[in-house]
Amino acid sequence: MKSSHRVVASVFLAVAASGLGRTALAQGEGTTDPALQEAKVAFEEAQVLYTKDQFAEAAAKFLDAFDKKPFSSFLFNAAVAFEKGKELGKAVETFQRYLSVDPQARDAAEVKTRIDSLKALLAPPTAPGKAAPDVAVAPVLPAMATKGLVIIESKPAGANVYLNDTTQGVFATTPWQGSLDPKPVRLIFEAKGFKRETREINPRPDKVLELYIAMSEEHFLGWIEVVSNVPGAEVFIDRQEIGAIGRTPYTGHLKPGSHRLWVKRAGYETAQKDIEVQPGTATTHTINLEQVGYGTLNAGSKAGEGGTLFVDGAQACVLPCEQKLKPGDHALRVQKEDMEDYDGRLTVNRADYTTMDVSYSPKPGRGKAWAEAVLSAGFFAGGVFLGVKGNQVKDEIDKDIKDTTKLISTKDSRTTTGKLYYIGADVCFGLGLVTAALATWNFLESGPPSTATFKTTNTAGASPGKLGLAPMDVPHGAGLAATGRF
Amino acid sequence: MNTAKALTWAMLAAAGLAGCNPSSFNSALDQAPVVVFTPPGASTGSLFVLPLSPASEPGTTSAARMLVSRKDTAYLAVADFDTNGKVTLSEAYSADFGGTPVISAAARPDGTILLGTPSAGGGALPGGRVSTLSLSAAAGGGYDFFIQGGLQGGGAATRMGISVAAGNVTGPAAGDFVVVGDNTVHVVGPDGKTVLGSTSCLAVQLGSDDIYAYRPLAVGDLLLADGLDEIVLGAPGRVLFLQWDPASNSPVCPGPASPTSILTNAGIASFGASLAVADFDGDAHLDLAVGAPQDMVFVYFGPLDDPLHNYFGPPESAPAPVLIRNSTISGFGSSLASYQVPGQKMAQLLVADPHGTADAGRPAAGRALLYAVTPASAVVTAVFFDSNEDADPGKFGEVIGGLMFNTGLCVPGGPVQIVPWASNGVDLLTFFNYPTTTLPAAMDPRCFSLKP
Repeated sequence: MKSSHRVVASVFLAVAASGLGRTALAQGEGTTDPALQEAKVAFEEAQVLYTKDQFAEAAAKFLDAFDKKPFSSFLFNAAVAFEKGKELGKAVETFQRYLSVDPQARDAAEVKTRIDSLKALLAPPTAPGKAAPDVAVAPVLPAMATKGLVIIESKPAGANVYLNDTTQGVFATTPWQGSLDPKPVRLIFEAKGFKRETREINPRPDKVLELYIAMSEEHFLGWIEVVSNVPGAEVFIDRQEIGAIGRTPYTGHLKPGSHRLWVKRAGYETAQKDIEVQPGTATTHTINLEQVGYGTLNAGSKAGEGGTLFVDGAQACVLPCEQKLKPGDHALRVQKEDMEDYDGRLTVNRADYTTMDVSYSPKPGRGKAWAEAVLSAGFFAGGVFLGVKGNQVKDEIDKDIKDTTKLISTKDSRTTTGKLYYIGADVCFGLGLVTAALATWNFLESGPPSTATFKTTNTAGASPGKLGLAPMDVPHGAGLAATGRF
Repeated sequence: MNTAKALTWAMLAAAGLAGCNPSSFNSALDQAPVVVFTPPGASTGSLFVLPLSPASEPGTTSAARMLVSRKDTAYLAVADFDTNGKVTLSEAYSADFGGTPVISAAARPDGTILLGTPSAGGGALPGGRVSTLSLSAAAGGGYDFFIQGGLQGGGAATRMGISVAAGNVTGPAAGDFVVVGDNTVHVVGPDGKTVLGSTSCLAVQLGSDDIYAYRPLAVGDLLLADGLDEIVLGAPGRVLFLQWDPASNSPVCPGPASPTSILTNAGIASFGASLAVADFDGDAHLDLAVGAPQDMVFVYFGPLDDPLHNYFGPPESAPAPVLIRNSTISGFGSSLASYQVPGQKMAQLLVADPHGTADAGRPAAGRALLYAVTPASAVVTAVFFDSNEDADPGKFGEVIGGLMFNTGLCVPGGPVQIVPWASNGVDLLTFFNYPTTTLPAAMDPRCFSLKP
C-alpha cells in the first residue's frame, strides 16, 4: 500500500543503523512538518474524545486531522466514531469516502460490508401487518475499533518491507503509511545492494508510529585476526611505507577485497601473505616467521645521521640504516664529513640484532693549517723573489766581470747584497719549509676518534616483556591500543 | 695527498736552498778583473806597498808578491798572489821590526829589503832606524822573515828611514841603499848598517810641508851618465839632486856649488810632491816625472844635463818639460809610479788623481791614469779606479805601482807581466784586466785566462 500522505504520529522513532560507528539517523521529519503536527494534535484529541464516548466530537477531530494530513486512517476512525455516535448516515458517508481515498485498503471489503450493514439499519421499517420477509432481520454489527497509524520510511527509498519473514512476500515498499494490527510484528527490509535490516515494532491503535531505516551498504568491512608463531611481530597491511599497523596477534577491520599482509620481526625473515576479506566476516590468518640466517646491524641514531657505513671496506649504507650482516667478524667504519672516522669490529651471530650509536668526534679545524700553508706559500714566494733578485745580482756581476771597463773588484759590495738576497731567500725557504711542515702536520692532525656503542640482542631468543600504549590507526578511525610483548 | 704536498714543498725548498747558496757569491768574483785585499789594521790607516820580484823557489805557487805595511800600525806582511790572483798574506811579528810602523822600504835585485821605521825609539822626534829583511819560504807555507837592525838615528838625526831607496849611488854596481831622515841623507851598504856616506845639509833644503812628510825619494842615473845614481828628493817647489862625491865619500849637498842640484818649475809650490824615474821615451836614458798636485805632472827627459837640453840652464835656454795637466783640481799627480812592461823599451807613467772622476756617475771618487809619455805627447792608455761604491774619495792612488806577475807558472816560459795596482789607504787593488786605448789590450796574466 502506497500513500503520499503522512500520518501524524505520537511516537517518533529514530532508528540508527551503524556498521563501524557510522550512524544513520532519521529525525525531525515528523516535527518539521507543521501540517503533520497539527494533524497529530487533532488525532490525539480525537482519541481522547473517543475514549470519553464523545463520539461526535471525536469524529469531528478525526476529520479535522484528515484535513491537516489526508491519511485515510483518519477517515476510517471518523466513520467508526460516527457509527459509535449512532450517526449511521455520516458513518456510511465517511466509510465511502474512506474507500474512495484508499480504494486498495486491505480492509476495503470489510468496509463495504459494513457500509451495507449500516445502510440496512438506515432502511425504512416495513408496513404494519405486512409480514417481514424471512431475511429481513436487522443485522447485528460487530464491534469495530479505530486504527493506529504506522509511517515507514527508509534510505534508500523503495526498500521492500516484509512482515515477520520473507516467505510471506513483500508487505510494502517504502515509503509506506498505514495501520498494522496492534500486536508485535517484525519488519524485514531489503534493498538491492544494501544489507538486510530487521526491526521489531509494536503498533498501537491510539498512536502514530513513525519508523525510519537507514540501510547499510552491503560491501561492508571484514574482521581479521593475524597471528604468528612470533608474538610481537610487526604487522603491515598493503603498504609497508606507512608503517606497521600493529603487532601480532593483531585484530582489526578491513575493507572487503584483496589485501597483502606482511609480518616482520627482527631476526626473522619477513613473511608475506595475500588475503581476501569478505564483508561482515571474521577470519584468522596465521603467518609463521622463520628465523633469519644473518644478523642485523641497526646503525645510527639521530646523532649518527649522515654518516656512511662501510662494512669490510665496502660502502653499505648511509646512517641511519639497517644492514644485514653475515655471521662472523666484520670491520666497521663510519665516515662523515668534518668528523673523524669511526673504526671498529663487530662479531655477528645469526639473528643478532645490534644497535650501533655513533658518537662523532669533530676533526680539528684546518684554519690554522691553511693559514700556515698560506704563510708557507708567502715564504716560498718571498724566497723565490729574493732568490731571483740574488740571481740577478749574480748575473749582473758575471756580466760586469766580462766587461773590463767596469773594473769589478773582488770586493764588490754587490756580493754582500747578493748574499743577503740569498740568505733572505734561504731564510724564506727555510721558514716556508717549516711552515709547510707545520701546515702538513696540522692538515694531517686528527682529533680523538669517533666512538660507537653497541647493544646486541639475539632476536631468536626470548625478548623482554614490555607493556605500553601505542597509537593505532585503522581504516576510518584512530585511537590508542594497549600493546603487550612477552 | 697532503704527503705529496709536503714533499713538493720540501723539494721546492730544497731546490731553493740549493739554488740560493750564499757562499756561491764567495767565488762569484774570483775572476773579477780587479783583485782587492785588505791587510789587517786600522781601517783608516795608509798602506805602504813595495812590489817584490816573483818568488823563485822551485815549486812555488806564488806568481807575484808584494811587501805590505801599514803606516799607522806595526804591521808588515808579504802578500802572495797565486796563479789565479788569489792573495795570501804572510805576516811578520811586529817585535821583529821594532814594533813600530814600517813606512818605507826598498828592495835590491838580490832580494835584500831595507825597511824604514822612522818612529823607532819613540818620543816627539824619534831617532828612527832601518832594518834589513830577508825572506825565505817557510816549511808550512808562507814566508819566514829574517830582520836585522840597521842604521839607527839619534841626536839631530831624527826619523831615520822616512824614506829609503836602493840604487848604485857609490858605484856602478854598489848595490847600496839611501836612507833619508828629517835632516839627513845616508848612503849605506847592502847590510843597511854600514854608512858609506851621509850629509846633514837638508835642514834648510827640505821644508816642513806636510805633503813632504814622507820624503819623495828617487834614485837614478839622471845626470852625467856616469853610471852612478843620483839621489833625487822632492821638496816644496823644487827637486833636489844629490850626487855622490867619491872624493869626500859623501853626497854633495845641493847649492850654488852644484849647478845641477836643484830643479824648479815656475814657482809652483807643490812641485816635487811626487817623483818617478824611468825611461818613458825609450831612449835608454832615464827620465824624471815630477808631480805638482793638484793638477800637473812634469816629465823631464834625460839626460837632464845634456848640453843641448840642460834643464838646469838659464830658464830661457832650458827645454820645457812635458806637462801633463789635468782638467780638474783633484789631487792629480800626488803620487807617481813608473810602469815598465818587460820587453818594452818605453816605460809608462802612472799618475794618481785621487779626486778625479772614477767612472760615469761617480765624480771625485778617485782614479789613476796610465800614460805613454814622449817628448812630444802624453797619452792616456788606461784608467783605473775603485769600482766599490763605498770607496772613500780622495784616497785612491795614495800608493800606486806595478806588480810583477810570473805567467811562467801558468804557461811554461811565460814572461813576467806587470800588473798595475793602487791603494786607497785601506785596500789594495790589483788590476789584472783592464781596457787600454792605444796599446794592445792588457792580457789577464792569471792562469784561468791563460790556460785553455
